[in-house]
Amino acid sequence: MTMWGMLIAIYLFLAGISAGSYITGILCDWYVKDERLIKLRKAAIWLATPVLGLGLGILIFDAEAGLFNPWRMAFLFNNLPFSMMSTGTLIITLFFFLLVWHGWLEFKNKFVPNWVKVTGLVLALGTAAYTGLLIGLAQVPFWNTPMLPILFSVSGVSAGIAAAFIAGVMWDKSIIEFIIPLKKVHLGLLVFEAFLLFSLLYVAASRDVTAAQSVSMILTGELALWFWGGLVFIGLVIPITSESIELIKHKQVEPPLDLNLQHFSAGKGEVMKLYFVEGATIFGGFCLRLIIISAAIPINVML
Amino acid sequence: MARYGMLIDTIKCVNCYACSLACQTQNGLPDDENFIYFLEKEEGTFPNVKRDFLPVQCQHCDEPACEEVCPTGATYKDEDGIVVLDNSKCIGCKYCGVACPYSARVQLHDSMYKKGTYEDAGREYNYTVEKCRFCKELVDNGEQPACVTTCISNARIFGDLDDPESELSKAIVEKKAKPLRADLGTKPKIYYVR
Amino acid sequence: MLKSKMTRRTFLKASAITGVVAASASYVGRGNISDASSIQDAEKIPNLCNGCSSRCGMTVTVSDGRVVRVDGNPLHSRSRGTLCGRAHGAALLAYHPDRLTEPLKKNENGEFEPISWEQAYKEIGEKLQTIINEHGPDSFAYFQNPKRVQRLYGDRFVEALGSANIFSHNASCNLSRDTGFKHVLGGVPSGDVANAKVTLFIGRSYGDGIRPSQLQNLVTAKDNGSKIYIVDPRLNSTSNLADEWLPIKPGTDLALLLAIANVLIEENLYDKEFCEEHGNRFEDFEREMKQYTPEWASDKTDLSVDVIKQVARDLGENRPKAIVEQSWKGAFGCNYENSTETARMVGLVNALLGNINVDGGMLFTSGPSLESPDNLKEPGELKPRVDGAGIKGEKWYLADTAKGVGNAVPDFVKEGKLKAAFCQHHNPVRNHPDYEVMKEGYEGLDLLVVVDIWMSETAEVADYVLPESSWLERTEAVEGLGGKTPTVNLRVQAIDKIHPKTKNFSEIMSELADEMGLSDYFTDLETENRTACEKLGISYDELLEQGTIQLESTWEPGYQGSNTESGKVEFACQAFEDAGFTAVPKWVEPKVTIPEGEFRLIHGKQNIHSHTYSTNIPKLAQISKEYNLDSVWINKKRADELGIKDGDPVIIENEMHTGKTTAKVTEAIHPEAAFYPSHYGSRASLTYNDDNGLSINDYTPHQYEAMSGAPNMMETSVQIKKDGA
Repeated sequence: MTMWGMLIAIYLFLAGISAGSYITGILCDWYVKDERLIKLRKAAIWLATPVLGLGLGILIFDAEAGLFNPWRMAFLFNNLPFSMMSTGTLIITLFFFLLVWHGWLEFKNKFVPNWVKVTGLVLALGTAAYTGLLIGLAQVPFWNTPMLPILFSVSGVSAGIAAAFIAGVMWDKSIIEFIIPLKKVHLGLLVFEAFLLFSLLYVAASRDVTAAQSVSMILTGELALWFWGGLVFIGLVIPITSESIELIKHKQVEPPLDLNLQHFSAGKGEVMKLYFVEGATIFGGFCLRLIIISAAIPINVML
Repeated sequence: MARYGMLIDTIKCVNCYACSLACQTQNGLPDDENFIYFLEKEEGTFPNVKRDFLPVQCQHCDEPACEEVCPTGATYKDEDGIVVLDNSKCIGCKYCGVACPYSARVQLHDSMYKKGTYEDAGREYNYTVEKCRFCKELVDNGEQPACVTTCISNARIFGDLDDPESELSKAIVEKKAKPLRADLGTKPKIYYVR
Repeated sequence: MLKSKMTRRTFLKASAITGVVAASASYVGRGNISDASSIQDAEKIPNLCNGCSSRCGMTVTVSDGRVVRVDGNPLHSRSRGTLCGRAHGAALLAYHPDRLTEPLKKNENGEFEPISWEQAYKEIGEKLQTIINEHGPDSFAYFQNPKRVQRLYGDRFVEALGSANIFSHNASCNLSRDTGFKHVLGGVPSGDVANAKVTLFIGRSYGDGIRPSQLQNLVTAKDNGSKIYIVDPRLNSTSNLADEWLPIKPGTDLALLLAIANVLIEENLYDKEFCEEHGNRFEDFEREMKQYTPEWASDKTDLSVDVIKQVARDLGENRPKAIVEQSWKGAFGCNYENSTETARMVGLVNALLGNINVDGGMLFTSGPSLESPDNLKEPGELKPRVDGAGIKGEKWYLADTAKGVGNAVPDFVKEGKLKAAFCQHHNPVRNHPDYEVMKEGYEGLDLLVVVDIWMSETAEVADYVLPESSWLERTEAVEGLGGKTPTVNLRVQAIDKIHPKTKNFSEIMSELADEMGLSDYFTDLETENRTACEKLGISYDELLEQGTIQLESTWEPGYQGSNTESGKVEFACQAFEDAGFTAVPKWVEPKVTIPEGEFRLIHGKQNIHSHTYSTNIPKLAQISKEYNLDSVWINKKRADELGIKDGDPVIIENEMHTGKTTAKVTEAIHPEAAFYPSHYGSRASLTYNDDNGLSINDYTPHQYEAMSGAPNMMETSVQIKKDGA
């Protein structure tokens, strides 16, 4: 462990989810272009706001010197653009204000100009990437791989989609039938995440002795249960298998998809299954950050 | 204006902890926090064995990773090249601590101190992320840092790297002292004889 | 590798520093860095460190009435301007929560209750007088840490009552060494390491049992290119300054020395002229050494024949600037059945090298003689010592009388010879082997008075515990130090008493003496100090100011004769023959043979600790925790056989004790040895040292070395196994 602990892992996780959730909202609009997903879009955008707020709160809580002397937070942007903390905080702050505004427009059912969505999308991607870059730029051998920011971004979006699904379905069960296109994206992200994860471990293990120690801590050491059980099995195997089965089944039923026919009944079983599978994805996302933060071993200066 | 640096001759170091204890007193640190820590490495097999001791503290890098990442500008390099901290700006985000390759930053916990049974001297640590400052208040007064003064075996030499005539500059050349992990590119100003 | 770093913050119990920091001391957390300024209105007061018994000269910086910093006093010959870690830890003792604040008396329920000083003096005086009237003055003993203030007020008190029973703590430190040296060289010389070309250290580690001047001398030697050998079953902390490590089998140093003597004589590398002129019965020695060939020693020591020859030749070829350093507790202070014999051989190998009192050799220097006022009453004739040290025909005739066989106290109590004792700045119940025996012994005294700053294992069994002011709160007696440049030194009170009812030892003893009608033997400290300075022709006020005054050197190079029976170097000692041993040193096997699969439990100092008291200093206890210093060192190969990995919890056990600790698995130790530092395992109820590891004294039986009576502290075998296995 470095000086950063559990709270930072949670913060990075929440920021990732928030970004992912917002991206889901934008995808509903631009990619799926399905009117029936309005509720999902709204839920996704609204969810992103408190989640990010909570994350920011945790960040402040972890920065105790600032917590007790709040005026010092004013110095946070002093080191732009050199400190990833300054840059990231600026991105997140802007993103937060944008979320509030966008959320307000959605709430009032007002027209959301495209530039708001574009800016939001850029800030969301920035937030997701920042959570990886923040630690990727630290002098911890295990963290210094180019894959880490991408992995954190992908995992953030994937957990965000999952969170948005849950929020959307809680609001209106029926949307469960219209999210197949998004599920394809989700599945792709999960597979990509698994690929990134193992390449990261491989690259880390082969480039530096200390990083290799971190990797063995994850694969066979004290973090093995979190890794194999939490991240790999619950966070990747379960969602990937389940989403794949669903997509295959779906393909067999198609086409055509009559808009008015209730092919699937959005029964209790389906809803519970969605909660479980998407919950597993979110849990996996948390495990990923916890593992990466916990496996950090400072540089060996005694070479 | 100087460019302060240090030489630590680990051949003369017996790992006696005096430097870190003197530092603790000088800086009023709680008992469980130190600006100097010790690494040990053993090489060889019995009976051909070597033990290496390595006291590590802030290396006062010319290009400090901690300064680079500090969001508030609390960490900065002063005109004498000493990496210092402006406590009034530090928010305690600990990014410096994570970024420092030498693990030289220490967050001071007020609560731990208060738990103690000793009389409270009225200090406030406020969770700022502290570090060795080459005992700047002593150095500005023409004195030596506390770790240097106490060192029994004279393993530490403090001085001006810009002055080729300083004891430090001469010793670095003579003993072929090198910084720790110069490959990391932070240009540390503590030179080690190993 | 980074384990220590990662566990740095785990010891939450430790508290705080004290107030060292006070207001202006430093600026951590004090806002803008530009506010930083040096200590304001600080006073610098000279003192002598009490971190260990070396009493290094130091300067205490006091601001606002609080200790804020300590520095070495550059004038002082032991600190030379530097200080080890213990000084910085011990500087805060005055503020320690465990301090005794008033006199305590044990009631019928075995609990301590506070009493007034008047009551304490009255009751102790009466009880002591009754015991002396009934059993004689020799039923009273005094246990101390031998410094001049103890001599002036403690020893004199005992002698005023007619007893010679003064015991120092040295029985558990260097009784064997001093006994051996006393008989062959007439005293313990100091190796002039800085100027020697070759130095052989036996069990002594300047980097672990630190006295700054010695470590500095070694660094000087290293800088000058001298050759340094370290003989130690463990590669100690001085290792980087050494050229070669001789990982000897524990308890066999005597064999190495005998073989070195053999090679020096056989290869004619010794100082023939010196030995014949200044040696007593050299020819007996020469004859006896013939049997101790390097081949024989190699078998005993696990060192190769070549190495033994090489060391001997290095020493012989570089004589007289070649020395076998005198050591301290190290390997032969009081540790093995052959320790006194080892000490004799260290003295004699040095004599063979002709290095006695020459530059780069073994020096005999003297300190200034400090005198008391002439009008003080002198003690009359004293009863013989209860341990028989120095008394012909007695069991421990050979033992050094300046130390005494203090570890035998439980026996004397059992035999009814000792009834009352005073103990100050010493903790015999914990510091001598076998806690149970010691505890029972000291409990058996009719009167035990302990003077200390906090409770110790000994204080806990006392009838009265008297609270002493801590070292920075008291001025002590002027004291002298020998060396090429002799010095006069003084501890000067640096801060006001934190606890007003505590008193200085000198006050306590003179007030008790008043109570017992012994006032004529004593005067106040200031008079003692002024008199000593006046008679020496130095200014007391200057001494108060600077703590140390350097005197003109009185040291003359060259052999000046020896303070032995024959006045010469005793290559053969009649005294040993009289005591039933051989006149010429001979090989003595260690008492305990280590069975297959077991370990010899050896111990030594750690450089942040002193004796057993410093583990209750939070700063120092914290370092022990942080770096797992309270671990047992085991050889890697042995550990592999036992399935023990570095950092594993292990159990050390023998028929006496079973205890848990962690293993430090290392290549840097002889396979037969298990090394455990000697500071831990306190049983006194103090704030910072509960659960602080094991005590080596719990594993060693109450036993005696035949020659000196020393407690044979490394004559014990233990089993080590993985905890839970």
